[in-house]
Amino acid sequence: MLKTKYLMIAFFAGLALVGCKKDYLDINKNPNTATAADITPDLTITAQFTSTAGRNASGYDFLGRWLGYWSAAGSYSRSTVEMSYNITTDFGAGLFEGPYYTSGQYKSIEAKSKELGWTFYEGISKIMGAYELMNVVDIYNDVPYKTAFDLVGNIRPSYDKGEDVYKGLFAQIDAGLVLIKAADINVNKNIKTRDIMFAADKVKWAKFANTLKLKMLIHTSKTTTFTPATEIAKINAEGSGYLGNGISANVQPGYSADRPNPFYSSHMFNSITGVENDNYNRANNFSLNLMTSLNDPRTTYFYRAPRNGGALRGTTYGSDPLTANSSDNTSGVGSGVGKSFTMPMWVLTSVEASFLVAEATARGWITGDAQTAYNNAVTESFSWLGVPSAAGAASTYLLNPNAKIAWPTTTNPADKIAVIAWQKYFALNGISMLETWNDIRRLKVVAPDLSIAPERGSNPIPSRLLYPSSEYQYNTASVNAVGAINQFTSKVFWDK
Amino acid sequence: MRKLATLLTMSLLLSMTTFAQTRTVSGQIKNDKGESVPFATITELGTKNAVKADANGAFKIGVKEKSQLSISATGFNSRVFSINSNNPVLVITTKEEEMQEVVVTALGISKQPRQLGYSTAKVSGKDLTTAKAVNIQNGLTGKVSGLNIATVNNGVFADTRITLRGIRSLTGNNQPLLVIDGVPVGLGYLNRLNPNDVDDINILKGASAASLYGPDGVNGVIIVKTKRGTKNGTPVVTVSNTTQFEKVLFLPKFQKQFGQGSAIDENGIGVYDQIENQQYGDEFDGSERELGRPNDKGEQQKVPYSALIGEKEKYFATGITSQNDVSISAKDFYLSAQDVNIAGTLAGDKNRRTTFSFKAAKEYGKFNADFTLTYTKSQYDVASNGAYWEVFNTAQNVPLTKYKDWRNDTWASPNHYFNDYYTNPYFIKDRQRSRGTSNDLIASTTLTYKILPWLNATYRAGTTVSNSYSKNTSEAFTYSPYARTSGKYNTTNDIFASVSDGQSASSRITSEAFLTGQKDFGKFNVDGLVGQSYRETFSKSMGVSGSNLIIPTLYNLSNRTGEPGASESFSETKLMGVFGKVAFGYDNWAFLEVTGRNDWDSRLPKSGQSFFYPGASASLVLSDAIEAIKNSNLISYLKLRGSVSKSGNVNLGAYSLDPTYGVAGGFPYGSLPGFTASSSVNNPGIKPEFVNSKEVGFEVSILKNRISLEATAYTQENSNQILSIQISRSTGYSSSLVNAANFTNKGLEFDLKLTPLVSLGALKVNVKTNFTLQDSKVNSVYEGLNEVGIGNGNFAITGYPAFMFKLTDYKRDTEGHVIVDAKTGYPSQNPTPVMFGRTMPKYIFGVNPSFEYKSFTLTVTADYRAGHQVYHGIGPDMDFTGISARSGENGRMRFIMPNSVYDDGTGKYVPNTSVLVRAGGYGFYEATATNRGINSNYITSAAAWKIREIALTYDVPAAAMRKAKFVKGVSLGLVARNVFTFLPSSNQWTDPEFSNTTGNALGINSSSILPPNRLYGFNISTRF
Repeated sequence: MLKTKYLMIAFFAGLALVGCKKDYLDINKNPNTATAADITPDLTITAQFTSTAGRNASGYDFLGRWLGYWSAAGSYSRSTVEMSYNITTDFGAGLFEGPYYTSGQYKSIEAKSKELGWTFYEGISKIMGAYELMNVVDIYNDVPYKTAFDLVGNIRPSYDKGEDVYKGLFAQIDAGLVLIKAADINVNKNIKTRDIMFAADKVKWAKFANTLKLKMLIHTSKTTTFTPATEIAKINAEGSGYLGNGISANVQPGYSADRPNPFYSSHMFNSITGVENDNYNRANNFSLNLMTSLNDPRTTYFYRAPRNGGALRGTTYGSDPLTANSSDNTSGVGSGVGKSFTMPMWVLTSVEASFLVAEATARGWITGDAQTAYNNAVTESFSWLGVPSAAGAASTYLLNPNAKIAWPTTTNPADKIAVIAWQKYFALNGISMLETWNDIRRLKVVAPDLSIAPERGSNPIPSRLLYPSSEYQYNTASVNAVGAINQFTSKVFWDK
Repeated sequence: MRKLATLLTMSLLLSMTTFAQTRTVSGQIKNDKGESVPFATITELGTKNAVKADANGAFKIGVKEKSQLSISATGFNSRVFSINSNNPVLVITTKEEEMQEVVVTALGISKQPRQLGYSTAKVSGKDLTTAKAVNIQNGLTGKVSGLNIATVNNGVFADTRITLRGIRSLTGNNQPLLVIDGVPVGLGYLNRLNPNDVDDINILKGASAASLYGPDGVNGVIIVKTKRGTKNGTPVVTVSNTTQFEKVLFLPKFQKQFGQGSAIDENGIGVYDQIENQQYGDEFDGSERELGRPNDKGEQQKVPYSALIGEKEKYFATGITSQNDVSISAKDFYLSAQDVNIAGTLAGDKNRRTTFSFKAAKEYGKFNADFTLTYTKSQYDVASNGAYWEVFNTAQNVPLTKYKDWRNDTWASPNHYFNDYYTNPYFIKDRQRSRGTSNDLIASTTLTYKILPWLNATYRAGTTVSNSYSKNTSEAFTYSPYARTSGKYNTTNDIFASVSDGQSASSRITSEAFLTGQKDFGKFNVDGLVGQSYRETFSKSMGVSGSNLIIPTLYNLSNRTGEPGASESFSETKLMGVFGKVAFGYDNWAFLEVTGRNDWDSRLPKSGQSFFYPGASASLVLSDAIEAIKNSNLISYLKLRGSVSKSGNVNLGAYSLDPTYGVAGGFPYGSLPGFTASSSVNNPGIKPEFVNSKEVGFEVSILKNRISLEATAYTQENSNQILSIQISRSTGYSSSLVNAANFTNKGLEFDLKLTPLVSLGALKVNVKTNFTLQDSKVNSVYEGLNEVGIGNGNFAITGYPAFMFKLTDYKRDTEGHVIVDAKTGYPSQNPTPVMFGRTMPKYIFGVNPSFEYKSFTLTVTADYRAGHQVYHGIGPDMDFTGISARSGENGRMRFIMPNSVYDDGTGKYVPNTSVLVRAGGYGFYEATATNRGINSNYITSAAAWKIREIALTYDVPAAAMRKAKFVKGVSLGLVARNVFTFLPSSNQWTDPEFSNTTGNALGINSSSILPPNRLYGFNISTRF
C-alpha cells in the first residue's frame, strides 16, 4: 500500500508541475503581422497615399464609359446593368467603402501623429481625408461625417447633409494646412521620404489645399454653401496659389516593372511581358469622333492604335458585341495618359487645377483675364499629355473657330463657362472622370451619347450612385433616415 | 433466444427438487472472448434470489444445493448454468443483433448504454465498409440520426462537411472533434484513415456527452476505435482488393437546338458565328458549316450543324479507384497496409493514399500499455482548373472530344482552336497542374495502472504530425507567327509559364492524465474521475511563387523574371484543462452523472483565459425498475434519459486580440514601407462563447428487441458568440470582432431498427431508419443589428433560422408579380437583396435495409434531405454561354415575361398579357440586368433522394473451401455508391449537396465543381 501512495503522489505532482509553469499560455503574440503597437504614422501614410491615388487609376472606369470617353470592346458580351443605368446597391460600392476605409486610416494616422507631436503627418492626414470624403459627397450627397470613424463609440454613424459635410471638409483642410505650415520637419520622422506626394514641400501642400478648396467652391457654384469672394480672399491671403503650370498632386512610391503604376497596369500593358492588360475599355465613338472632327492632336494621346493596326477605332456604348469591334480591332487608352509603368499616379492634375482656375476666373472669383486662364488650361492639357511643342500645338488648336474650342466673343459668362466645360471634358479623358461627371451634372453643357443598350429604355445617365447594400444591412436606420434614393431623381446638393 | 430460455426455465422449475441445503458460490462472468462482463444479473433459478455482478464481472451468491443459476446481462444471451464448483467461470455470449453494448464515451471510457443520460450512436466497422467507401465519412453518410455529412464537391478529393445536430456557431467551427483511439485529432484525419482498420465508431452527438473534451467537444465527437489484435492469439491475415469505376451520374440540362452565335438578324433570329463561344446562333439544320478560322495550311474545319448528343459526357473519363488491403492480426498485435489509387473522371487527375498502421498492447500485471502508429502518405496530381466552364463554352455542334491532342492536332492547337474567346478545355487542364504530397503520422500511447482494485490511473499521449508540400505549374504557350496575324482573339499575347510552391507543417499534441475510481456500496455504485489535459497545436506554412519563367519548361523559382511572391504564416495555440466527474448508480437502473471542467486557453486575453462549465445527466432503466415492465412480454428494454450541460468554446484563431496591420498592396517599393490596418478589427476583450444544451430521450426495445427505437429532443442555446460582425464602412472598418448574437439550435432525432423485419426461412430482412429534424432560430444579433452576413448569400437574421439566403430578385409588385417595362417588356433587378429559404436541410431521413439469404447479404443506404434551398452558381454561367435548357425554353423567340405586370402610366400595375420582351434569346437570357444577375432564377429546392450505397456480399460457404485448409474465409462483393439521385424538376443543374465551401455558408455551387459521379465495382476479401 505504501508503494501505491507514492505512485499517487508522484502522479498528482506530475500534473501540478506541468500545470504550474507560469508562462505556459503566454504565446499569443502575433508572429505573422504587425499590430497597432508596432505602427507609427511614417509606416502607414505611404500606403494611404497609394490607395487614394489608386482610385483614380481604375475606380471610375464605369464613369469613363457612361460619360463618352470609353466603351466596351466588341469581344465582350454587354454589361447590361451598367449599360441600362439600372444600377443596384452593389454597383460602384467600392466608391463608398474604399474612401471610408482610407479616410479611416488617415483618421488613425491623425490621432497617432497628434499623440507623437508629428504635426506634418497630422496635417497631411486631415487634407487627404478631406479629399477622399469630398469625392464621396460628390457621388452620394448625404453621408456620415460627424459621427463617422468612431469604432468604439458608434458603429452606426448617422448621415450628415452633403452641404454640411462640405463645410466640415473646408474647415478640415484649413486646419490641416495650419498644422503643416507650422510643422518642424525634424520632429516628423522620415517625412521627406514618406510624404510621397510632395516630399514635405510646404508650398506644394498649400497649393494642393487651396486647389481642393477651389474645387469645392466650383462644385457648389450654383449654391450658397460658401461665399466664394470671402474664401478666395483667404486663399489669396495664404499666398501659395494653386496647382497648375506643371505642378500636379502626384504620388510616386517608386513604381517599377515589378510594381508598376496602377493606371498603367489596369489600362495599358503588363510591364514585364508587354501583354495588353486592358482588353475591355476601348475608345468611345462619342469622344473619338468629336475629337477627330475637331482635328484635336491629343486624340492619339488619349487613345492608342488598335493591336491589329489601322486607324483609331472606337465602339458605341451599349452596342452588341461584334468581331469587327473586338479588342484587337479597336483602340485602348493612349500613351499620353498611360505614359509608362514608372509614371507617378495623380491625385489632382495640373490640368484639372488649371481648368478650375479658368472657371473661377470666368466667374470673376479670381481676378485676371479669363481667356488667358482658359488658354493656359488648354495648353496645360497639351503639355501634360506630352504633345510635342505643346504650347504651339495648343495655340494652333485654339484657333479653331468651333464653339467647343474658340473663346466666345460674347460677354455672357455662361458662354465662357460652356467652352471651358467642353475643353475640360476633352482634357480630363481617362484622367479625372469623377470631375467630368461633376461638371456634366452641374453645368449640363456636355451631354454624352446615351447607352444604346435596349435594356436602358428611357433612362438618363444616373445623377448619383445608390448607397451600398452594406449600409442598408449594417447601418439600416441611419441610411433609411436619408429617405428613399433613386439614382435618376435624387441629386447631390450642388446639382441644381 | 430469450423465449427459449424462459421455456427452459419453466421446465426445469417443474422438475426441481424442493429440499436442498444452502451454499455460497463466488464466480466470474465472462464473455466468449474471455473478457469480464460487468453488472450481469445472477438469479437462482425459480426464486427471487438474485445478485448483481460487479464492474469486473465478479459475483457472490448464496444458493440452495443443486440449484441452477440464470445469468442475464444487457446485450447478452441469457443462459442457465448448473453449478458444479464454488468458483465457476460462467461464459455468456453476445447477442447477435444486440441493441445494447458497450459504448465508448469521452476519454475512451467504456460505459454500458443504460448508464448514459445522453444520446450516442454506434456504427460498426462492418456497416461502415459494406460499400467499400474510400473515406470513412462516405461510409457514415445516412446511417446515424443527427449526423449530416455533405459531400460538397467531386473529383479525387471529394471534400465533405460534417455536422452533428446543426450548428452552434454562426461563423466559427461547427464540425465535430475526431478522436482516434482516445487521441483527439483534427477532423481532416478522417480522410487519412483506412476504413478497414476501424473496429467501430461511436458518435457522441451532443455537447453533454462530450463535455469532458472541453471546447473541442462542443460540436460532438466522432470516436474511432481501430482494430486491435485478436484475443485468442490465432493469427489472421486478411487480403482484399476493391476496384471501383466512376462515371458521371448526370450533367445539367442542356438545350439541343441552337449552335454558336451571339447576335441576331433583323428578324430577331440568331446568327451563326463560327468562332463564337456563346450559343445564341440559329437553329441546328444539319447542314455542313465552317467551324473556326482556317489553319496555317489554309485548311478549313467543317462540321455538321447539329447537336452532338452525349459529347459533353465524353469529356469526362471513367475514373478508377483501386484499393488493396493487407492486415495481420494476432494476440495484442495488429498490422495493416492499404494502398488506394484514384484516377478521377477528369482524365489525368490522380490521388493516391498509402496507409500503414500498427497497434500493439501489453499487460504486465497491474500495468497495461497500448501503442498505435499510423502513417499515411497522400500524393495527388490534378488539374488546377477542371475547365468545366470552357466545356459549357463549347457549342453542341462542336466535336469537343476531338481536341484532346492540342500539342499535335492542328484543330486542337491553341493556334487554330475554333473558339476565339475561350481556350480548349483539354489545353487548360493539361497546362495548369497542381501536384502535392502530404505525410501524416498519428501516434498514441496509453498507459494504465491499477493502483487499487477500485482505482486506476491512466496517462495518454497522442500526436498528429503532418508535412505537406505542393507545386502548382502553368505551362507556357507561344503562338505561331500565323496565329499571331490570323486575327484570332488575343493570339498576340503569348502565355508565359509560372510556378508556385508551398510547404506546410503542422502538429497537434495532446496529453491526458486521469484517475478513475469505482466502488459499490450495497445497491449504490459510485464512479468518479479526476484529470487534467493539455493540447498544443502548431502550424506553419510558406509559399513562394514566380511568373514569366525564362525557360518555359523549367518550373523552378530561380527561373523566374521579376520579384518572387512570398508568404509565411505561423500559428500556435495551447489549451489546458482540469476536469472531474462523479457518477452514481442505484441498483443498476438509476444513474446520475455530474461533470465539471475548467479550461485555460492561450487565445483569450490574459485577464480572461480561464472559464468553467458544469453538466449533469441522468438515466432511468424503467424496464428494470418497474416490475410490470420487467415482466412484460412486449417491452424488453425501456430507458429514459436527460441531460443539461454548459460548454465553453473559443472560436478564435491564434493572435486574434490585437488589431493587425498588413503590408499594403504593392509595398514595399524598394526601401519604402507601407502598412495598412486590417479592415477587420480584432478585439482585445473577447470572451469565450457558451453553449447551454438540454436533451431528453428514451430508448425502447419491444418484441424481444425486434423493434427498437431511440428518440431524442434537444435544444442548444448558443450565446456570447465570437463573431466578426460587419459594420457600417463609415466607421473606417468593415467588420469588428465581438461577443454577439444568440441563437437557439433545436431538433428531434429518431433511430428505428427492425431486426428482423421479415424472416422467411433463410431470407432475413432488417431495416434501420433514422430521422432528423433540425431547426434553429436567431434570437438576436448585435446592438441594433438585425442580421449578419457570413458570406455566400447566407445570413443570420433575427427571428429566422440560421442561415437564410438573401439574394437578388426581380422588382415585384406587392403581390409578387414581376414588374416589367411597359415598352421593352424587360424586368429589372430589385436593388436590394431579398430573403429566400434556409440554406441547411431541415429534415434528413435515412434508411438502411439489408437482406440476408444464406451466404448473400444485400445492403442499401438511402437518404432524403429537404427543407432547404440551393443557389446554382452554375446556372447563370450556362445562361451566359446559352447551353442551358433554360435559355432555349422559349425557342429564342420573344415572349411575355411570365406572371408579370407593368405600370399603365398612372402608377397602377396591370397584368401583362401583351408586352413581349424586346429580345427572347441572347438579349434576354445573356443579360445580367434581365436574367443572369437575378439570383432568384437559379434558386431551387435542395431536396434530394439519394441511393448512396448498394452492396451485395457473398461469403463463400466454409464447405466450399474445405480443401484449401489455410483459407479461413473468402467474401466477394459487388458495390455501388451514389447510385441514384432524385431531384425536383426545378433543379436542372446539379447535386444540391454541392457547395463551393466546406464552411458554414452552404448552398452555393459553381461551374468549377465537376458533375456528380456514380461509382460501381467489386471487392474480394480473403482471410487466412
